[in-house]
Amino acid sequence: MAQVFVRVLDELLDTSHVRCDPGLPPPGPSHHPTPQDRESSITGLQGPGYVCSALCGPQGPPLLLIGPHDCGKTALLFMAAVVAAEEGAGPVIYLSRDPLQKLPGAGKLARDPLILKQIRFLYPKTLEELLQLLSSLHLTSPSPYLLLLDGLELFLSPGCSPTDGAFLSALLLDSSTNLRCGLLVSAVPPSEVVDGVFMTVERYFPNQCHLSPEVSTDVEQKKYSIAYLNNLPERFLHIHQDGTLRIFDNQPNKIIEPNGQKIGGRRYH
Amino acid sequence: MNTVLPSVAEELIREIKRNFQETSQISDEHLLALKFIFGPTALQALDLVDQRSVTRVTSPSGRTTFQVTGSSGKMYTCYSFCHYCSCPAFSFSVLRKNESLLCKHILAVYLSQATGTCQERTVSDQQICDILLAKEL
Repeated sequence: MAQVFVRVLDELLDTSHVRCDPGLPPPGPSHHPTPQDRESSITGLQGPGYVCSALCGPQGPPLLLIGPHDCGKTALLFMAAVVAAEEGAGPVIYLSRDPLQKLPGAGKLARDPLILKQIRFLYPKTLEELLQLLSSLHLTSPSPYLLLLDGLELFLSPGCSPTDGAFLSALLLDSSTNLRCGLLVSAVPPSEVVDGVFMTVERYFPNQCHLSPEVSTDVEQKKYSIAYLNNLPERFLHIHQDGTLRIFDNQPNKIIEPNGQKIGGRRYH
Repeated sequence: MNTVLPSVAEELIREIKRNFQETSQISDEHLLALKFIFGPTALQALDLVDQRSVTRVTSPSGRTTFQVTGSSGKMYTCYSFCHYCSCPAFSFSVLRKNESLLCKHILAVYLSQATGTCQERTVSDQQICDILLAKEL
């Protein structure tokens, strides 16, 4: 769910660290995306090749969060689950193949531990189990407010076909739209450049957010850029060794050469 | 089906619906436009609509989906809110080859809704799970 995801990023936003880099315009209201900008930029993207056309529910359009292993996707999804549970509008369903080993540390320091009771953690082991679960979501009462799936790629084994990827994506979208609940999915893209199954999945999710590692000499924290497919202003995620997450609107300590080329923040794939 | 087609196709379906409500038929002009946009799929889909092959399935919980009886008599599931059909042509032409926007069953769902010829069927909440999973019933 894009809106919850944006609220999570806003909560993690480190406003104490905003610094004007040489060569960049001074910070000001016009350089920070307004909530309206964010919402309009992450809704309604349609393009050639997309087969998805799921309607936006009241919680905004479904969002696919794509990034490598250990880039904080699980922590961000978990935070989205907690933030949605705190809103109290209904149950939150958190799907993952493997149980969470520890609670990701992020966001507000003081949270009511009882809020976790509002989150239903389900751990289907196979694609069949997951499909079964999604097809019977309407049997759960009350209807979920937010549906999260962490690690979609873990359910698509190398033997799966593009049809399997489409079936899973379509059932996720159809279920969440039918039940009018939000949908937030995370996935690790395949290492190969071309993968028919994952490409099919991406065709169902026009709204995507990509986490890409940033080159950094900092050993204490890992840095990632957060980019949307549709030109929403880029943000940066820093993950400290202790698992703490912080979000920056500008990349701190990024050096910009006079010709505008980034030195400290070059992105690679 | 509340889905978003490319705007030209979406507008055409809307026009067909509007026109059908007034004249109870699809005009030649609209038939040509269907053929132009969807190719041979258009005629096959119209055949399915003529044969009343599309059924909107609803369960007491409010969950809905569509079942379309194909030309061979086999039943396929088409989702209500997302382009997906359990037929082989959808897997091949739409997903693998990216040659078509949709299969004849999904187009038949659009057209049967535009022409008000969609059958209605109510099943139990348990039964619709199997239909969504496109299991043979």
